[in-house]
Amino acid sequence: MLYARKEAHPFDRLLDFRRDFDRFFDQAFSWEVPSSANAVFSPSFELEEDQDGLTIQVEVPGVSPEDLDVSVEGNVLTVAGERKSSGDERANLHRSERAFGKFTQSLRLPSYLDSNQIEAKHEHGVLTLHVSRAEAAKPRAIAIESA
Amino acid sequence: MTSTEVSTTRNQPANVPTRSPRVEVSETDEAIWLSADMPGVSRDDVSVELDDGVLTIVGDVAASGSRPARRFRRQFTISDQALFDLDTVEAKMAHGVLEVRLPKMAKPQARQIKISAA
Repeated sequence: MLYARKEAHPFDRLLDFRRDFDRFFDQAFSWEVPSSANAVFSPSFELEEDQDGLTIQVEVPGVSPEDLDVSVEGNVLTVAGERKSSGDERANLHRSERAFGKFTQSLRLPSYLDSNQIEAKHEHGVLTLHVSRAEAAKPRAIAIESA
Repeated sequence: MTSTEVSTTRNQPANVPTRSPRVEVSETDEAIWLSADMPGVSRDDVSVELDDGVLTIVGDVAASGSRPARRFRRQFTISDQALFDLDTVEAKMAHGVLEVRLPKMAKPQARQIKISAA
């Protein structure tokens, strides 16, 4: 019916067979949902370091801010959340590459970062965390005494 | 937001790294729904285009910090366009997920035909 183009996906061909909305179709093809239907949602993390500290970007599309939880204990930073399926239970799934469910990911922060100085921002399905460098770990110039 | 928006020129060079977004396609009695994960894409940076039975979704993410600009793009073929009411396709964007609704044409109601006596 609606299938991806230019991709060698075995289900494309199946879907292509579909020429009308035969009422028997739903039963006949309901097994065709591709694999990741039961996969666990595991967001991708991207870390980037600069002079100010560490920036962590977590891709959480479809996760609302109230379903996200960022915490820090000691020097362990934890990002947890849940991606809830908005799908209609009665809907017939033709393709399911998106995973849902709960996730937790922890990260041990290096000691030169200040775990008390963490900022979090959520925008367009991306959670951005910034951990500042500890004051003592910031680069500074050392005066050279001349004899 | 209703749109069969056709965005012609986009403010991105053609050579930005492009990813195919993960999608979910589901169907109800009334419509086919397409959801695509486009983390980092705002409502203003997404386009949904329908051209001769080919649905193209594009989402752009601007460069930030040392991360270069990047793009999500994927195309779908609608094998039987007559089954859909393509003038009323709707799209919305929330938390980096694009959702497109392709409504089906209403089925004609069965009618009782009266048989007149000869």
